[in-house]
Amino acid sequence: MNKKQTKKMTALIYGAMGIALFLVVWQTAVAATDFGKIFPGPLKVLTGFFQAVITPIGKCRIQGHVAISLWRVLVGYSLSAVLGTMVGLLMGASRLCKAIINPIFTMIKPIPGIAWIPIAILWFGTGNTTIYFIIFVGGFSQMVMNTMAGAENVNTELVGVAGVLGLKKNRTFISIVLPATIPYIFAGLQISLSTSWMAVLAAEMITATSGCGWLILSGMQTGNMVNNVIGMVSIGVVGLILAILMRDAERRLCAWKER
Amino acid sequence: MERAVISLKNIRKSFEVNNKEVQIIDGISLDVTKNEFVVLFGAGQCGKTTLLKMIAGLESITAGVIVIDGKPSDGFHDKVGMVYQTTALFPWLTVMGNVEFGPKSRGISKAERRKKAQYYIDLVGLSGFEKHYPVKLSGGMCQRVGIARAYCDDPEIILMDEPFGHLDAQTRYMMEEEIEKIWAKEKRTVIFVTNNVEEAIYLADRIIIMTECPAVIAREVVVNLPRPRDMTGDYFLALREEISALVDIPRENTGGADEE
Repeated sequence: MNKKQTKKMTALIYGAMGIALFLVVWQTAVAATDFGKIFPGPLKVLTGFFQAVITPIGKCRIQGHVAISLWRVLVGYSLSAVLGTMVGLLMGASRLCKAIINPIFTMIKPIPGIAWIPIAILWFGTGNTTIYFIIFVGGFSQMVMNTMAGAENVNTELVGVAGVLGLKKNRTFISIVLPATIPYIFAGLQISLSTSWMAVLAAEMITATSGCGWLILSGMQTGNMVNNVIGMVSIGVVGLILAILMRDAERRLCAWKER
Repeated sequence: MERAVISLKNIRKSFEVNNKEVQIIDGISLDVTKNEFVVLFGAGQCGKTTLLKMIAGLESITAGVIVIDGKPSDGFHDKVGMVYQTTALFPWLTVMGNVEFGPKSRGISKAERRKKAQYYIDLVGLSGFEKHYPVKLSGGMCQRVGIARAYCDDPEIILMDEPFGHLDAQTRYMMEEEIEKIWAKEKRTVIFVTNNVEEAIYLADRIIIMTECPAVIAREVVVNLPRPRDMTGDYFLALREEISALVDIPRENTGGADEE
């Protein structure tokens, strides 16, 4: 085992110990104090979770709710990623486009995605379209801002170098601007993934009858706190997995950045 | 005399700074023959690099004509390659990707450009590093990539803009020997900018000594020493003294334009 692996192992062990300690404290607190009256213990949550895998809560089982939320995120997030990158590149590459779009954009940008929920409901009703829209609005501005910053920061010297080496002017975008911008696009994808995941929950709490957000809310409405907590835990787990996948993809595509 | 591969005819360059015209280059004429190694040498900060950039097509020419292969050249020229002070490698491309960039841009088939790139990667001593990204390489290695990249584009004229300026002294000596070997094996016309006297004498067939701003040619020195040169030889040291003394002369005495 080399040094790096040993370090990784140690970190893993400490991490597992931390989680174990947390669970023990939680269980003890629930069993030994009045905290148990207002919050379910880890064992109860675990049994609740296994139950939810078998018997549906509301429209579907827990995995169904997770899948529904994931799908919604996927749709809204992909839309925001593709359109946001395009608009960002356009603004970064053309001063005219930036001059036109930027002022409006700067005004709209600080409005959080969830502030759009009421209008979205009026526009699209309470269906999936509203949820896609909310996720899209949140992710879109992140993508635009990051991509634009990347496209603006392209080293102009390299454009000249490429010209000396015979690169045709109409290839500059594909060969220089795009690859130089990819790390920025990835930073945007990371941030907008987490805001998308947040947005889907908020939207589902208000305007859905399924998904993780609905699950949490229904836990409150029916007084079933176990449902509430398993909803939260599954959100945490899915969010973690998404972040890991994202980091992995970044490491592959932006290997040239790593020292 | 052999016909010049490249001729500069009364080149001038001025920039506008705060609504004031600032003269950087004040009429430089120079003929360089095929496979000649010419060093532009001067202590000043301005002029030399700008001149190279004008030849490469990276800067506009205020006045004068650059003639390459008998034809006036304006903008990029496919016979001209350049090695940069900052190395200016494409960080997202591997060593191979950087070296094959020129032929790839010019639409040369993958098999052919790979073979060519491999030849120059081997020539600069980077065999085995083809798949490395620049960020993982040392300064000296990056500059080797820069040299291979310039060569691989098949230029007749290679411009080198203080390529070893950012390297530590030890690496610099090594790279000077290296570039001499590469050039001996793959002769090209080289115009090399430096502010280091030893480097100039070690490499040049002919040293063009330039004044401070606005730059003009102060003097030319032909170096008639067998290669590779011994930096501690008597003639070498005498030449170094002579050139160093020249550079210390105030500009008024070297034929430069008067200041405002």
